[in-house]
Amino acid sequence: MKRADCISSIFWVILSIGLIKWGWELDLGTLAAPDAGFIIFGVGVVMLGLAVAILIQTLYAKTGLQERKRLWSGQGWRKVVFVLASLIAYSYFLVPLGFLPATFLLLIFLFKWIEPHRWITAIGISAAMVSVTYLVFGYWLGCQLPKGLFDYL
Amino acid sequence: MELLYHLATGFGVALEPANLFACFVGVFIGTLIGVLPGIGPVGAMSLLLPVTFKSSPEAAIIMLAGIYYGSMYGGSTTSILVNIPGEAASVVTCLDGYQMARQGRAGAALGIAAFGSFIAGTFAVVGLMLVAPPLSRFALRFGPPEYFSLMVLGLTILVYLAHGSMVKALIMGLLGIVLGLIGLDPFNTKARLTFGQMDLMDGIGLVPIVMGLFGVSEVLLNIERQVTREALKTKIGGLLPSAQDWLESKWALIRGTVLGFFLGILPGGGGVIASFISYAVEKKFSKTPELFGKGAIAGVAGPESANNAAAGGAFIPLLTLGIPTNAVIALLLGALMIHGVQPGPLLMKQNPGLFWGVIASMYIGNVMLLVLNLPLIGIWVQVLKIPYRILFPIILLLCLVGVYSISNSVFDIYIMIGFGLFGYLMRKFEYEGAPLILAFVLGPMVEVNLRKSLIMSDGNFFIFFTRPLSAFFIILAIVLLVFPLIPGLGKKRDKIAALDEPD
Repeated sequence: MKRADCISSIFWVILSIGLIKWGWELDLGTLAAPDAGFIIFGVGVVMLGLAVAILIQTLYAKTGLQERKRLWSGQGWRKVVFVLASLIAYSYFLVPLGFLPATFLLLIFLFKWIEPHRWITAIGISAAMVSVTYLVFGYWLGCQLPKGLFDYL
Repeated sequence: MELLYHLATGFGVALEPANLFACFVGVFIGTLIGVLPGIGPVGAMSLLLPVTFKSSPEAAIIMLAGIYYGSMYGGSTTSILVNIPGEAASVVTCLDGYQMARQGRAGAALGIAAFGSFIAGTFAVVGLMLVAPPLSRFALRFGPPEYFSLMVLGLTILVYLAHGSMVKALIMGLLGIVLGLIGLDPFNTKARLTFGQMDLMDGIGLVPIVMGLFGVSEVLLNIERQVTREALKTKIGGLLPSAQDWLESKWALIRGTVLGFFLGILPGGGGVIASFISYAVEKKFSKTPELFGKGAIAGVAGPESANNAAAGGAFIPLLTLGIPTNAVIALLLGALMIHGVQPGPLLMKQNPGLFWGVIASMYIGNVMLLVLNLPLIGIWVQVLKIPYRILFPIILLLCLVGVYSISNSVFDIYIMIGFGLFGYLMRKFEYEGAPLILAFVLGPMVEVNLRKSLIMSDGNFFIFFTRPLSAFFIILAIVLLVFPLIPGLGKKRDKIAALDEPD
């Protein structure tokens, strides 16, 4: 885990410096009357210490070859990127398009391109799932799911 | 007599049709979640949290509690039949359960797991009923320093028992505390870490974080790894354990139950550690330790009893002190608060119907689980055959709709996706999610109690050491943090951590 720990500890160092800065800006107060930044500042300081400890430990560790291959081996990570991108696109279009079309399109994408099924299966399962979810959440539980294109209904 | 009166009140609540139905739905979904690898009780409970909004607080908590202890039952099925634990507390059941199945004794393994779970679950409910009232009265003596020290101890134990690096677990805990502080300062309403975003003024919700860390990230990891499952093609017959099986597992059942119950009460403990310790204890006590890992029935009975007893024991700190001991209980705390119920020492007085109703529902739930687990094993095996490529879009859809429906906010979906990615990377880099969730829930309470204590003592940190209870908790926490620095003891902890690795 040498490389991975090195990357993660650098991330924590940056975050902890940010916390120290934000805590300081929020005002620390005094020990008798701690203010809004007191805990954030304290957490930042402790986190910085721990992150530096991991970093030092990592620099002196001997293992770590072949790590890049182990962390990201195979083609699977591409699917992860596509799924994340599709979820972000879904969130963006959910309100303007409405729950029914946006969710149907997302499911078609997941069923057809992420783990390929036949068109008929992908459309069938997607339609069934969208209907059931809408009935349960929209009607039964009374959730205000966005109508989007169907706003006039 | 008073206890019986309260229990009768509880059964009155639990047996109301709506609550009885909630209990059934809870244990059924819990078993299903336990059976299905890829979604754990935390994810399932957060998915179903919006479903409880229309129901009464009693029905909501009865259902969510049912999911928790139901998942402990169901988790054993996949461990025994497929060698894949349905949830983390059943990891150790794979060792002997799967070997028993390969030897044609799947029925006996499933049977003893179900009966063991039933016995331990019922014992835990009795324990909860007896321990909770006096502890509740005792907890009224707690002031801010005691609460602060106890929460620090809880977080420390969770960090100490973390699977891998303690430093990494500590960092996750610290991150959880900071995330919990986002929003308005409770003392002077200053906006903190909101970066001008109005959506962050009320803080980040627990559900988007949990669904991201435990739901979305799990899906991302599984689609990357191409999860395939193959159920064991063996005939499952004879679910009732034989007299010999009972004889071989009776002490394992008793030891697992007692051990699990007390480890469940411990802040930071829970089903996972209880099952591992129970397995280690049984191996130590066994006259034939060489059979462990090769199909010893005690290796199934002990851990399965322990994780169910721990699930029951974990309710004690929540209901009496208002402090969650693990991520699942933290979610239950969130659910109680959403329903306007403040857990803590006064819960029993202010909401006796809810308190005793939940306890009584656990008796009923345990019976339901026994009925569900034994005759319906065939159905659970069929559920195991649902391919993951059908399952993962369903999980993602439920995450999306579940998060949106809580506050009708697209921002919460973005938060969930963000934590999904963070959770995915976190697992790649071998960081654990449980300390983050627990610290996220405890963070605001830790801050308020620390600041109140310092105001009380005029800035003197020794207030935590001058009050006996607080001193006990804080010194224990310090000892646990220093423990791994002592070479011999550190190695022992590393051995436990290595044993705890699912792989």
